[in-house]
Amino acid sequence: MMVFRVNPFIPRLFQVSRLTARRFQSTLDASLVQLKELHPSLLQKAESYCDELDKLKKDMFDGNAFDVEQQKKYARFSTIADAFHEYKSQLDDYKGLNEMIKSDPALKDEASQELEQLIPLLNRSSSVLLDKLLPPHEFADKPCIIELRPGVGGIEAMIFAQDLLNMYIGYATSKKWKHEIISRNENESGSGIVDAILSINEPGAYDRMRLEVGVHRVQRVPATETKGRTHTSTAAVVVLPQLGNGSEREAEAYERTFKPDEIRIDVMRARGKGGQHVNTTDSAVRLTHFPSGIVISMQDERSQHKNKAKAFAILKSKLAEIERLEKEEKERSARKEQVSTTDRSDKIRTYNYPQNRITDHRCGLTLYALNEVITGERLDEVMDVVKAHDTDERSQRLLNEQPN
Amino acid sequence: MPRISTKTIHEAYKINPFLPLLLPECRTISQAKLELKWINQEFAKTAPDHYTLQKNIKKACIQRFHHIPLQYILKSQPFGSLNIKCQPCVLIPRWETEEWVMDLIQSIKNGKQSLESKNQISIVDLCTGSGCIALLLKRELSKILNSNLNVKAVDCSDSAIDLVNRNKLESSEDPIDIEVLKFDILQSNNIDSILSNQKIDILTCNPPYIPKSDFQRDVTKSVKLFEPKLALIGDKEFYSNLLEKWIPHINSFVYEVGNIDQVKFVKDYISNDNTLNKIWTVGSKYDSNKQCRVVYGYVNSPNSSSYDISKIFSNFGTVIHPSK
Ligand SMILES: C[S@@+](CC[C@H](N)C(=O)[O-])C[C@H]1O[C@@H](n2cnc3c(N)ncnc32)[C@H](O)[C@@H]1O
Repeated sequence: MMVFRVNPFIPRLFQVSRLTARRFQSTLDASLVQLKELHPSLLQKAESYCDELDKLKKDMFDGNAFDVEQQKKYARFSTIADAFHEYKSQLDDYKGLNEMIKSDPALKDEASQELEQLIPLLNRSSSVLLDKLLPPHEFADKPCIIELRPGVGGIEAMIFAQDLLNMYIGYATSKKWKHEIISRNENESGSGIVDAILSINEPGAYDRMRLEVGVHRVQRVPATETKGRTHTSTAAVVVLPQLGNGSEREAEAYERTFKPDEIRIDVMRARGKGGQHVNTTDSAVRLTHFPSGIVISMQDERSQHKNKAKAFAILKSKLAEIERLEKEEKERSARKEQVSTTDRSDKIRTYNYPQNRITDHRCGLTLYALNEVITGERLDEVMDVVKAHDTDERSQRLLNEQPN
Repeated sequence: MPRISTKTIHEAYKINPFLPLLLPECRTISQAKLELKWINQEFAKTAPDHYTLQKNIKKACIQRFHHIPLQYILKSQPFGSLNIKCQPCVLIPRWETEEWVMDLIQSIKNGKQSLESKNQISIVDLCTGSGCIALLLKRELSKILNSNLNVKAVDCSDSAIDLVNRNKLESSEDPIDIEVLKFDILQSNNIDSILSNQKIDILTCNPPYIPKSDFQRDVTKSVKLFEPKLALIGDKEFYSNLLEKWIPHINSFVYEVGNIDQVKFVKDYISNDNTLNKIWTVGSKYDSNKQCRVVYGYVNSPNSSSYDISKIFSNFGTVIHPSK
């Protein structure tokens, strides 16, 4: 059974959170269900994109050639315009129905019924439009890699890290996304993992997965626990953009962009005289990047050369993400922004086994369907709400920037 | 090497009953698990059903327990972008070799303009074994050089010759076009059949370099038992052969070494020779495991010439002759 528990008395679709209330203007009688109508300044923005789209169309009509930048703009503005028109036409319907209710009591029942069906649709298209209006995330169209590490809680944390890995594999599988475990180190003395890297080779996967970043917490009774006590442990998830095709050739080119004293490559556990004297199958490679302190160990491939290429691909992702975060941080302090953003060290979600419950702490969502979320099957439901919440926050930021 | 503890064996058994069989060669559980994964992956490609797959995996693990090299069991070893086929009686390519060959390719890439005034570049790989060096050089360099590239691979062993011919066709998606020559470089006085009318630009060689006296002590069990002695045991003779026979016919050489004495031997020979010491520069190169791995040399070109082989070695290693 699935229950949303933001507030137990109101069905969630008709609810307006504190944040959304700031963003949306309520245009309805209190007796009627709530509607997410977009803030006028956002609509203005949408209008101006439509105008620009018209200009571009005219240019095209006049036979002017488009450069890549213009093509990108064109694609982006078109999707905004589509979403905007959809939203506007539904909003017109909505207003019409309201008029009807007010002016003709005879039609009230029927109109209210229609209204009830329309509102979820309208709220959806408003979310879609809002999402399109926000500046796209720098790596939105990239595939991604997901890194998992146990946190506090010993073996339980390692088992949980493995569970999360399975969840993301299950999720990728259900989406028919190509994915592969790039590296995975098991706990030698029992179950669970010490770390793992999963790559999801689907363009746009980064945008879908990026909100999974943070500390995930599990509450359950360990198999070895005799007194039936629930233990709490954690695992950390990091999501990074994948920036190349991961080929060895590319890795070599990338390697050459570093000064020799910036990186060190160690081959692990090499012993003795090497060369013809031994025939080791140990192809592990450790890559150290001194300026950032990043160390990457890679050993899953039989080829040392491939392991090295993989290590460089991961280094590239990590450095790009660091750079993006720094940029974001700078922009934020330039805006003197107060909005709290999630930190990598924040607990973002709890998985409670005794109650079959999953709670996302950022958006306040609670779902009693842990066993279906943890297989990846119903992870989308959680992610959708988290995403909507993120969109809210980002749009709030956008509004703050607008003089009005 | 220390014995593996009963505890480790027991732990391995709990993870997978085949795992203890891999411990004598792998030493650690994590490495054994990796090998088991590789064995699994490789056999899963061909096994018709689960039962056969399990049988094959078990057989492979037992072979491994008897120190048979993994590459002979899986019949291949990755080498750069190639997947070199391996078979008993021919040496398995080592990562140290792969490393310097990849570095050499990179160096040549960086200095390629200095070669391009010549429309035919000639490379000869002596003691070619599986052909790994010759094949990787041909494959990678033909992508980056504008000149014609002629690569010859030489070995005295029939098994090696057979295997190179297979690797020409099977180590990469497209066949790799190199010439394969059966030739005993120490016995024959007639190297003309290898030389064409022009000088060899680069002579590469990974000769047998383990002195007989060190063999019992320094070589690991699996190598000792299963890899050909013809490919392993040797010392100064191959370096003398380079200095006495090949030097007049080449513009540069890159030889793998097993110890620093072999580097010194080459360097001393050249610096003590009043003609050679003016024409040749000699360098050495270490591997990632901090072992002395390569001795190389090239002719200093006259200032006027547009062909300048020294350019392709500018970042390859450390020059030891002439001393600064
Ligand atoms: C160390 S293995 C090198 C194989 C391969 N180049 C590699 O790097 O993996 C040495 C090779 O030299 C060959 N060899 C030994 N004595 C030789 C000789 N006198 N003339 C030509 N080849 C010889 C052996 O057959 C063996 O294949």
